[in-house]
Amino acid sequence: MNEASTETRSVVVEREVPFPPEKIWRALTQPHLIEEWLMKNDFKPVVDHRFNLRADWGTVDCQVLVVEPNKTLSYTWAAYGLESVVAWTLTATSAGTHLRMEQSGFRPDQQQAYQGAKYGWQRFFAALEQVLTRTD
Amino acid sequence: MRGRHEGRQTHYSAQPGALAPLIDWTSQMAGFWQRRFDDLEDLLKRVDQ
Repeated sequence: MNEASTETRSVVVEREVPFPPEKIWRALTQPHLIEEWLMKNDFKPVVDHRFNLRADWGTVDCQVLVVEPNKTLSYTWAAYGLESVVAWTLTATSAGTHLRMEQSGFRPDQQQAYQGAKYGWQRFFAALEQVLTRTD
Repeated sequence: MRGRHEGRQTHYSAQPGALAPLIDWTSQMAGFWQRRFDDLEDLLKRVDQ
């Protein structure tokens, strides 16, 4: 077996946000607020709850994995052959909150899915930006 | 990319064509999340008022 096939890559975005964790937590977990910065959804902060993030062009299938109020939230994120996990970590700081998002599970063997759906992905990203711009 | 372990060190060598699409994919997702963070911050500012 090629050990490279089990290697995964992650996308990490971190930012200092000048608001307390409790306030950010609400934006991450209340459906009408999630819709404002991400997508329409039927999210519930309940472990094992299955939900969709959706737009005109399709959906992302998710399932809640971890709910630790004001600290940690993670859910699976499956779309276009990508099986990944999105994990949010909130850490209180003197200036507000250190907010970290890690999407993990980009595996080389999923590249086939990406290559196969490459134009689907490009449309996915393009459509996503359009939808979000329209709702502003 | 291939990994080769030597003691506690792992050496990586790029296999042309194998890694590029993966970077392309993850960098697109990174750009997506950066913009979502922007919108999240905008939302937080709005609901503050």
